[in-house]
Amino acid sequence: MKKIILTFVAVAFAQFITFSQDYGQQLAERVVKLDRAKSVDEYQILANDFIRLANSPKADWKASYYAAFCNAKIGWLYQENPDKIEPFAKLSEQQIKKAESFLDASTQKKALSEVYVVTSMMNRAKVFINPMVNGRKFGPISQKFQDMAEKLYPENPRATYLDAWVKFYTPKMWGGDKEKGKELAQTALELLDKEPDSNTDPHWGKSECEAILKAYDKH
Amino acid sequence: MKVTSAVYLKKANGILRTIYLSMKSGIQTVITKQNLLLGVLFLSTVGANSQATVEGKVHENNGIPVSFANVYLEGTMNGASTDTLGIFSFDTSERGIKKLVVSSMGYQNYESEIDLDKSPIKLDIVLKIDASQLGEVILSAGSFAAGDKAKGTHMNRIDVVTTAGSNGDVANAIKALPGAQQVGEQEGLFIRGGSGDEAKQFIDGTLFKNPNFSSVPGIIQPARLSPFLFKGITFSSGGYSALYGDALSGALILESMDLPEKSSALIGISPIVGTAGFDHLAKNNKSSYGASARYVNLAWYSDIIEQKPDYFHGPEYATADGNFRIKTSETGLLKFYGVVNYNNIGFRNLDIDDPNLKSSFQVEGKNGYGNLSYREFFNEDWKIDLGTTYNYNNDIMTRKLLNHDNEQVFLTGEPYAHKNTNLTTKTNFANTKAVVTRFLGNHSLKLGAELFYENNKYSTNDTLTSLSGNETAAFAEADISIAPNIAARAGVRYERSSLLDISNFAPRVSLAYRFNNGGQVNLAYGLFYQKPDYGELLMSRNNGIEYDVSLDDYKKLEYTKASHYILNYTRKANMRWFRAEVFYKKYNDLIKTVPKLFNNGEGYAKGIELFYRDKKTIRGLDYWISYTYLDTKRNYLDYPTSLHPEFSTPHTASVVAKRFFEGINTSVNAAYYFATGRPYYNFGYTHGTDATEILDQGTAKSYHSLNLSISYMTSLFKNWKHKDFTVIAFGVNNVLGIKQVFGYDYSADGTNKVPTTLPAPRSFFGGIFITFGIDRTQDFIDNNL
Repeated sequence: MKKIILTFVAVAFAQFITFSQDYGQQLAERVVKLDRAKSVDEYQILANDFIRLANSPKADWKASYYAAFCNAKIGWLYQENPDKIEPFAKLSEQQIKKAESFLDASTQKKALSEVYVVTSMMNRAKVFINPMVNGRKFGPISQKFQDMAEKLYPENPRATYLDAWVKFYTPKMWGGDKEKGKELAQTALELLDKEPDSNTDPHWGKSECEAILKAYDKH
Repeated sequence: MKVTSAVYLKKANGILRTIYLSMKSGIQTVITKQNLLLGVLFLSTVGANSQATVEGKVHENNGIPVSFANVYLEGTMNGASTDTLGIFSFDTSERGIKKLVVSSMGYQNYESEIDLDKSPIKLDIVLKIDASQLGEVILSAGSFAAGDKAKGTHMNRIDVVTTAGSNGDVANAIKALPGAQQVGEQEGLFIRGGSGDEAKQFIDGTLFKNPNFSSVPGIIQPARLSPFLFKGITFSSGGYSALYGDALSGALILESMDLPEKSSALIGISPIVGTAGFDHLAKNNKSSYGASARYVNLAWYSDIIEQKPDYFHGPEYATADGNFRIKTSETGLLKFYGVVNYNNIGFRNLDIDDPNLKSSFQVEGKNGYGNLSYREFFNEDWKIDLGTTYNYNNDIMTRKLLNHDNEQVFLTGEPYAHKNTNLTTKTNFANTKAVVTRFLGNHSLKLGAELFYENNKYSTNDTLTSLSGNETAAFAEADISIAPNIAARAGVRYERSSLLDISNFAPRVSLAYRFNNGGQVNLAYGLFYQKPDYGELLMSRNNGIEYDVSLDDYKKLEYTKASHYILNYTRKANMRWFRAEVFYKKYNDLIKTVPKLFNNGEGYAKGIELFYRDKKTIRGLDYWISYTYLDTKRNYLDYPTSLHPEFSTPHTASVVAKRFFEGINTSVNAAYYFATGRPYYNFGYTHGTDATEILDQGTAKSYHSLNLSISYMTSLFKNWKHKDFTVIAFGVNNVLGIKQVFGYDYSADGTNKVPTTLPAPRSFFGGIFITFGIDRTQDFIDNNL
């Protein structure tokens, strides 16, 4: 009998886990997966997951934020395949607007800063579609959101990462600076280390910053 | 332990299946061992009935699996993505009839109700391609659109104008696309068997009458306007919209820039060009104004690089322009652009009839052009476009016969008696146009009218001819979206000339069908009319056989006419673009000048054009290849019979390549052109006979030209508050120095034949261009290379 009860306790415990697997729990699981995502395929599946989570009546800004982030990231990953970027950038735009609509500008400055980081990334993805033509229009918009993100939350490592990326990858004559880019990537890593463990709060950026440092070593 | 109102349970029977238990909210149960047991038993029982597995496959109707589709129950978090085989599976604790949604990029959303009580649920879902996500079907028979909206493998403005050797003339850059002939001794576009004046340029809807500086025999003249002024360029080699008229073969449709993004200033210096200008954007971003000036003098240049004609003046070109743009509302924009130009070119050549004499040609031109346009959306359904343009042009052309010391001599008797001539033309041209667009869902209807006015004075030696008249046109054009992948356009244009006292009716239709792979088939048919130009007829008389061009005869003429039939296939994928087009064109009522001015000319043109652009295969290299096959004959002007016109050749090809070397901030553009030799003729005419006769004819040698331009981008004053963007550029046209022969001029007796060639084998350009404010380095390249 004891054994049976124990078994049932174990099952009940399992129940309990899934029991509380509500929106927050599911979000957390996806964010763990997101931390390991690398390929377009992985981001695409995660974008779908986050879109479904965003359908939940309990959804907050984060589901839409992550969906938008995944799609913006796909846009970045498709830099060498710019024909494919546009629909992802469009989706990302819809989703980040939805995320922003959840937020109160006066009390949720950090969250808004994160939303602006992704808005900046999404506009940068639009530049990648055709830099010669779109650069003039979306480059400055991307910069504007990056600046706004930094202003709202100066220690935001992801805003610093964007800054690092822009400095590093902009040709020298248009104001790019590889040294400065490397330094900023290092600063962003330091800021990431200082960030409290955050579960579902945005905390990405480590591998992105490391990629810049790696590119710096090669250059 | 506390149980909240929502309960998930995973059973360990192989796969953990989720069930959902709904309990009234607020009720909390403390679980003891016993009621836990009961609870679990209860849950397990319920679980057996209340969970469902939804699985299946998502594919296109041809069986191709759709991967990464998002399959979910509406309003819930339950769902899954399809794998690369289109297969999905998920569990849900939802019950009863629910709506299943399948969404995937590039496909229409799929929705269907499923009964979750009837487990297992196996679904076979077919997604339809969402044609709207592929973008609108753009009707593209006969046209190349290069707009700022164009993306990927499409053309954009910069792609077109940075073609090496285009010398800042959009029309020259267009010669790297299929359809246009490599005519290197005369400005204008010679499209599909049409002469240069059979293609017209339009700016913001209205006719741009004099796009190039005053014509000079045998030497191509630069464009008056900088390509930088335009954000959109559409080159139509046939079958174009009913909104445009008075062009038998093609149209170059230019759309001017809207408000600039920032204020800016620019300075450009080179041994031959000086330019400066600014654009000022108001603080509220609602209006802007700007001005610029440009002065070009090649006198110094032609001293260093020997030119075939002996220039005694210039070539000298001066330009000053001004603009304003005002945002009249969220959607309304008023734009003005005005420019004045001056040019003066004088040169001497050995006289063709007597090498001991010289003949000189000089043209002094003054030109003013203004364009005012307004556009506004009244609401989502109505749009209005208004445009008005005015153009004044004054050319004074002087031909003189000179002795060895460059003193004018007057000799009697042919051919010398006609070697001292003056021709002065003063033309005033105005065009006003109004277009109202009504949007009806995916369809639209355009209705409009335009008015042309001209008042021209031609004085040859001491004879003055004045001519003034107006022309009205009205048009209607419907854009119909028959299906998401089929678009059609049907239009009709009515034109009436007061001068000729005749009218015409020109129907035009075009159709596009897009395949699911993005490939597209386009068809177009249309009638195109053009009013004979009195000035052109006078000019051509001066170049060849003297015929009578009386105003009375001119007024009896009718419109010349061309019918276009076009079939094309285009496909864009993965940064590559392929386009093939076949066409047939019939000319009727072309102008004949011999034996008398009359509309009894005719002709045909047919051909195949291929275009391939690739930005993918070699990383960082963007290149395109174009090929044109043309078979055309016409009997017009002083032709004795139907002939291959001297501006046409069967085979034309070009390769354009561009590469930016980021490490050294340098961009290299190259363009290579090839054309088989063009036919040439020497006609003779005996007064009183019915036709001219061919005294001599032949085919000139084939044309090869390689143009190269290199530009280095830098910043000279990095620490200034307004950082500069600077380009140092260098370009060479006809790098290989091949002697081009475009045709021949004959002496009156036919014994001396002089090739028409470039003024110098190679032409060079070098300069430095500095902008402050915004990065306008690209404009420098556009303007000068």
